[in-house]
Amino acid sequence: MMDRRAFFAGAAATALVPFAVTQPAMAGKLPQDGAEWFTNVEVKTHDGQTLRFYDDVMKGKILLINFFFTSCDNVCPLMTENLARVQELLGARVGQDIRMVSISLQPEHDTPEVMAAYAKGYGVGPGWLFLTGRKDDIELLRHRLGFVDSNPVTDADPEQHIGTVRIANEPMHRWAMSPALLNPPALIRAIKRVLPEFS
Amino acid sequence: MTSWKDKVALTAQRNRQEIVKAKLSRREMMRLGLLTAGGSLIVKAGLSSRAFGQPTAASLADPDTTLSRMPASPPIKPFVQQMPRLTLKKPIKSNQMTAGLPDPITGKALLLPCDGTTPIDGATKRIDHQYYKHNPNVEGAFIDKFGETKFYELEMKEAHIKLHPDYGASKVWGFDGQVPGPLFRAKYGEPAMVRFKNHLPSVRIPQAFGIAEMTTHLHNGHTPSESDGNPVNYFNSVNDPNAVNPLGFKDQHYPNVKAGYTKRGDLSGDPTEALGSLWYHDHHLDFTAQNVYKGMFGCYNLFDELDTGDGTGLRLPHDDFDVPIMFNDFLFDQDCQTVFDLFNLDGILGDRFAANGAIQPKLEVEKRRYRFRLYAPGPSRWWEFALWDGTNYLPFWQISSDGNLLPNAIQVTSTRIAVAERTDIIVDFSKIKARRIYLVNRLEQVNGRGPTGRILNPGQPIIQINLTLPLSSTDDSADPSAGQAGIVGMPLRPLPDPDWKALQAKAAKLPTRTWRFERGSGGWMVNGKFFDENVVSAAIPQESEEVWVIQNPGGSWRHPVHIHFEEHRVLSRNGVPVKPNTQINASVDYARKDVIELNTNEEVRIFMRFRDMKGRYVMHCHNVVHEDHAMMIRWDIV
Ligand SMILES: [Cu+2]
Repeated sequence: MMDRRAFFAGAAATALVPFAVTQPAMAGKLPQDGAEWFTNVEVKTHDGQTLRFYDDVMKGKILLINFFFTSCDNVCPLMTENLARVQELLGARVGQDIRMVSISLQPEHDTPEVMAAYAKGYGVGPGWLFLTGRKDDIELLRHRLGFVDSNPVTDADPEQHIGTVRIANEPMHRWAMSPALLNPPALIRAIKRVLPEFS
Repeated sequence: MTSWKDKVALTAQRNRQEIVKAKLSRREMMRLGLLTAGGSLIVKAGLSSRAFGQPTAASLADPDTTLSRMPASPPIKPFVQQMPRLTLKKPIKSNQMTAGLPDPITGKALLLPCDGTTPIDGATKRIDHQYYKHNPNVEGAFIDKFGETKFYELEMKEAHIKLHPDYGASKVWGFDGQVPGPLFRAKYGEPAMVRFKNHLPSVRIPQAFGIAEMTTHLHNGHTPSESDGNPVNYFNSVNDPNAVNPLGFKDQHYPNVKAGYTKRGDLSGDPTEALGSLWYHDHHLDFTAQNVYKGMFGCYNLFDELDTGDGTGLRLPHDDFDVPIMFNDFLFDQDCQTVFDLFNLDGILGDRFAANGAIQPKLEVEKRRYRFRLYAPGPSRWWEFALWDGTNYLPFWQISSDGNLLPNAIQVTSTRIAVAERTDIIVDFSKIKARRIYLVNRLEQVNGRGPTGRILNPGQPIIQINLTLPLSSTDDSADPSAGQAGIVGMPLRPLPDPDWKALQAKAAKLPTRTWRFERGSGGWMVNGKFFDENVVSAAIPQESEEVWVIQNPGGSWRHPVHIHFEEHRVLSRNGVPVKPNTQINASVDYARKDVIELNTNEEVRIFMRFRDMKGRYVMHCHNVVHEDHAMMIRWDIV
């Protein structure tokens, strides 16, 4: 388990405090203005909370966001398992400044209870939220987060949207994408790339 | 608060007023497609207004959201500012090189010549330059394997630039604070050591897009791996002194040597492999598109004994009459700041068109021959350039493809370049009767996935060219027609494998690798995989030859595929061999290339050599939004 220490070695210097969200006054408006772009639609978590998407889930966080659905028995289990290993490597920072988010593509089926059982099955720790909500709201989030395909037939197939994880340093507007099945140390390198201030 | 409909109406009205003020005649406007016969303004990309709002069920179902989901840039008057010439980069002495921030008291930065090493892997490691080595006999002296080194410094920094007189200043990042960056005029036999100094704002300062770590790739360069701008070789800014590379710089060594020197046993290489119009740009893993769009690109031209740059050799137009032009499309918000949609993975388009950092400029020319080097730095737009006098498309001479001289000049009336491609053209203004013509882009492109293929008439005007300047000196350049009728003009540079049949026959026996550029799992893949910097997809023996088959199974997107380090020759497209360009309907595929225009449902076979140097390189889609969403592979020469 090599990378855990490497990842935190630099962070230790800045102390493991959650990341201060101080934004200097900026000329002009940022084009992807948080709540306006990502919206504050209501989402329900696997542990029974109701949250506003931007303000409560995203704002100020380092994020790993992917889409999944519990009945997908093809790629999803491998992916969730892979992300569970990433969570393990990231350790206590998940739940502090880092948040993992998995959004259901079958919100009508994936109730909080169903997702809670799913998360338990993968040994998901705190700081990793499984989200569901109104079908239209989830579709909106999918589009706003760029999990879309220009071919409508491909776009309608939920399995086309589960292969990647979006990695974001939200306060810095820094977004990247990684394959969800990338080996955990490489995925951690990708996270570090949106976090150079810690490396 | 006005409704979006009111805003649309208001912007349209303003657009129209701007056009009237710019004094385009009605006839010109109709020809430019801006006005209907009835006199009303045609709403089209570039002069239209678009509404921005919450998506509706209909807009969510519409896959073509590239431009439509963003509001239009503020209006401008076209053709009111002069097209800027690029600043010429001058060398300095090695003992004048500095590093770090200036001392607050003395105002001087630390003097620090090259020490023969350079940082790699996110600046976490430092290795030796392969061909610029310490001289053990003289303290502090170095030997450049390829000649006497010239030293340069480029400072990457933030700047505020007015891209149009009607606009407020836009925040950009640029080499030496310029967009495009300064022009290098390098020579074969004179290696260059360039110190890239990252003086961008700290990564702790939020940006709308872009990341203040940089790795600069010299596009088309035959460059040692550690100086190639590999996507993982980014380094931090001097404004992040606690980061791994506190002085915030990286030295890159450009040998300016022609490929094939190893086999020839000399240090000059194969004269038929000379490169001409190169360019440099950021290549940061996951962030290339954002950083390039922010302004991190510039121009690098190479000269040799044929293409001399001084009127000798092939006698091409030179100095003031050798004009590189970099074309960009930008989208601006209402505060005149560039907008980048981070959630559009198809590609990024703008609705304002800039030439050398000026939106729709004008250019005054003498009635003589000019060489224009046309560049498409991207991120996602393809272009088809033509010269239009209000009635006709005027002929001109294409002399290069991807910046490398063709075997012969070819007379054309348009030239297409995908992202990252270059074409050099010679325009003989002494043969043009009109006093005013336009450089137009005739290629329709409505989203980031590539052009539709439809040819516009007359197209989007980018530069107004006025043939007004008095002749400052006699034109000493050669006539590209070589005094002959027909489309094949003067001989330029022979190709390395002039016997086309022999090359095809040889290629048929070579080992083959197939690379499928495809959409998958919500990103862009090569052979079903996303880029992983530690996976070597091809380990290729040095001095070997291979055939690569590049495939696009997609029916609705195109990929400009770029291979670092070595040129290639296109053998065939969908099984149809390329025609040598001495035939009518010549193909500019008959050339040395570094970008493959990979069109929909296309398979392109190319011939590759891997010569001279070892190390890691990449191949990727140069629609850099695709590259950033993982359409890249690593290949190593071993
Ligand atoms: Cu592409």
